[in-house]
Amino acid sequence: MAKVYVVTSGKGGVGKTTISANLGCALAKDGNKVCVIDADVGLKNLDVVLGLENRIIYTLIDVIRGNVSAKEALVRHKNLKNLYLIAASQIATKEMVSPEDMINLVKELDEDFDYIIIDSPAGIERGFRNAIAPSEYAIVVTTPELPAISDADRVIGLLENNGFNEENIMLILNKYKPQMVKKGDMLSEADVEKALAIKLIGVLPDSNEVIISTNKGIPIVLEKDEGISKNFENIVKRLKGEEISLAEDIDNNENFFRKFLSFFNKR
Amino acid sequence: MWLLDVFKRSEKRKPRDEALERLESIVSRRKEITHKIPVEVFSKNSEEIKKEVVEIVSRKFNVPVERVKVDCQEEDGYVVIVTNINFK
Repeated sequence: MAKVYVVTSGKGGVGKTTISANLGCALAKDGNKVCVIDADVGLKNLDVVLGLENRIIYTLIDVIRGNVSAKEALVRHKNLKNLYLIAASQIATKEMVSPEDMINLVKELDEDFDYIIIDSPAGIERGFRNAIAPSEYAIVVTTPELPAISDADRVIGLLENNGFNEENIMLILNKYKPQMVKKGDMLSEADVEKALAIKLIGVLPDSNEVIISTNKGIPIVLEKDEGISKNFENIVKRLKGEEISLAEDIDNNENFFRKFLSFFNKR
Repeated sequence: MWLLDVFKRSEKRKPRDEALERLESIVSRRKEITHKIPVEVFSKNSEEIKKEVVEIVSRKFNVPVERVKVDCQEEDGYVVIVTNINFK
């Protein structure tokens, strides 16, 4: 039986797709058999982030229409042999998929995978309801800005109303800028965690490297073993119940020059 | 004295403090979780629900419970709550 996670947020542009792709890669690198599903029907981006856009033959809609089975629609990753994708269709609309369709799709894959990660579209409409329907665990992604946190708060309320246990809803804080937090110009990870009152399982600093890796179609987790990749490894460990300090996520990404300067600032 | 005030550094609030204050206000408006109650459960516990509503209304409007009358009815899958409060 697979553990089924939905990666969601209220606001768009907070990094759900990048996190779904990298989390899938990190779990696969850790030896798990993983399937990532793009539930953002009508837009589709997960295949692009994973660098698999030229390999898509069948999409989620083909499975729902009964043209192919879910297993036939799986696309295997180029480098990670235990990572698979079910891509979304760009020509379909979210209304063409129902929560029951998603439940049936996941049921078909459940036995073959350790983890299924569903990348949800932004917002709280049909696409969101489709994405959460087969999921037991939810990862809410936010940035440390008020509109994103406010929308994340709304999503957490909806997840609870839809039967998610409080302990099964987790938070990832993305696009965090340690220097701004130090200056008092940005909310800290503790501020956001306290406001949303759910467990923070990862802090991902704002990084140009993520943009570069997305442009190359190689998730950063597969490119490097340091910095933000370590953060994803930490998230995987936390999902598996290991206690790892969140300070490690922030320290991982302080570059050598900053560490060097802060060493002298302390003297 | 006003001359000294000119040189006094104005105390600027950090953006984080302002954000925290606004965030607190945003999350304090969070709606409480509502649970869906099946019709059978509602009909069995309607007296308890009425009692609970009376207590909430009495607290909210600061009137004794005796002055609050409540009636709950199920109509087309929804619950209609009729509340009568005597403020005098």
